[in-house]
Amino acid sequence: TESVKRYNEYKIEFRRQQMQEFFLAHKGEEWFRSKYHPDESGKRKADAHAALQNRLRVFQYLMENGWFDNISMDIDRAPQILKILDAAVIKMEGGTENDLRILEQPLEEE
Amino acid sequence: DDQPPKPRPLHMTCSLFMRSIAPTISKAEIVALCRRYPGFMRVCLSEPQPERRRCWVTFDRRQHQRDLLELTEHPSPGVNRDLARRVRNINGITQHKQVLRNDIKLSAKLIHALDDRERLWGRGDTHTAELPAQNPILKNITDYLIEEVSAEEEELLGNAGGVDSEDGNKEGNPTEITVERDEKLVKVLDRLLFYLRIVHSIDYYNMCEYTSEDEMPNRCGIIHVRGPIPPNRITHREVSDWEKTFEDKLGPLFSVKETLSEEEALKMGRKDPEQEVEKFVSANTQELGKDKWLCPLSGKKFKGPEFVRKHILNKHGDKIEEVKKEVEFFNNFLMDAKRPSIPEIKPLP
Repeated sequence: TESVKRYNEYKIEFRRQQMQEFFLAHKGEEWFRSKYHPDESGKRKADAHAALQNRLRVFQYLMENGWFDNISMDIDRAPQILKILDAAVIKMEGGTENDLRILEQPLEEE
Repeated sequence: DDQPPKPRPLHMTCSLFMRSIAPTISKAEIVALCRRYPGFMRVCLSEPQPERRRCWVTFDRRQHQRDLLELTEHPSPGVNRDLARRVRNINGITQHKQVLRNDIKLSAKLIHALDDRERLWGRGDTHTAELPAQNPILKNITDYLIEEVSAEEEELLGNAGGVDSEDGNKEGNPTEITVERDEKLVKVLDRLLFYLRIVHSIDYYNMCEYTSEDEMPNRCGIIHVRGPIPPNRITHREVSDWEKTFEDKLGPLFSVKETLSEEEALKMGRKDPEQEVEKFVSANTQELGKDKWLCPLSGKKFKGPEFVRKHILNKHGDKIEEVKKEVEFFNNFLMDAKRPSIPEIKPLP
């Protein structure tokens, strides 16, 4: 009916207006620009992609070095799983083979 | 001496947490502030919801936490506690071979979707030429989805259609089964799950993604794993219910960045770059008097509007580019179906 149609038009107009107001209110803010501005969103995407590729390299390293060979994702293997997560983080931070040795040492609390 | 250098505990960080950072503050400002403290690593900011953001500042563990409390003059940071119980378990029904097989299918599908979305592997892109076109862990994965049965043997021995068959899930079939684990399937599945967890930050058994994990204090924090085998026998119904619920909850993880349809975009007022350039030109073509036209961008005067137009297009190309970028900026926001907004006021029932 006519009244439903008009109500729907009103709703669209309302949403449209709210969206425009949001844009004007936040267009100067860094988080918003890095999400949508053509110049700045490219950099953010590139950064995110590089981070993902770093994580992929870490996974490949762990696989090639047999970290997943004698492990299963079962709760009774929790300590070994934890060690894999820590090894992954060490590699993500650019750690070396030598740095991984810290996982074999008893924890020294400061 | 030949002693190797002392291994660094790079997996151990300490961090501060700030509950409320205004959206007007940029990440660079927070970085500049925290960089003065030794051991600074990175800053992670959540998306505004709606007017404030949570913030984590990560430091090297070897830098003692107490020194960091000097930062207290700024929005009430707290010292972020270490994660407790990083390996958590879920229902042990996940050890059953039928569930394992279903999970191989689902996680392989998920990896396909995410690798595609992030363009992680070759696919003819020259920049990633060092990587093969397809993810090697998905190779031959379908082999494990095919059920191997000894149907012929059972037929010969007269046991056809016995309770062993996995499709015994008929209405009202109360058949109970023992949870049966298959190590071959476990091995294949776990490789996929470690891939999802480490590369894409997806905690499969918790059916969730840890967004911005790479910027957070813990770059690979929590993981959910299979629990112990249930003490009692289970029913086919339980198995199929489990699979169904799991698949439903996993659904949102597949979603690619959603954009509006063409029709919706027009309704919402997507802008046309050419039209906006025209608007910009006419707004900057001012009539001062008879045969006297001004371009306020440069202050130059012209005899007719067509000369101002030509002048703007030739001499103010940078401004035109800016207008086009602004249009793209606005349209990118408009096209995002999950765009941030002020929370909707709930209509009265």
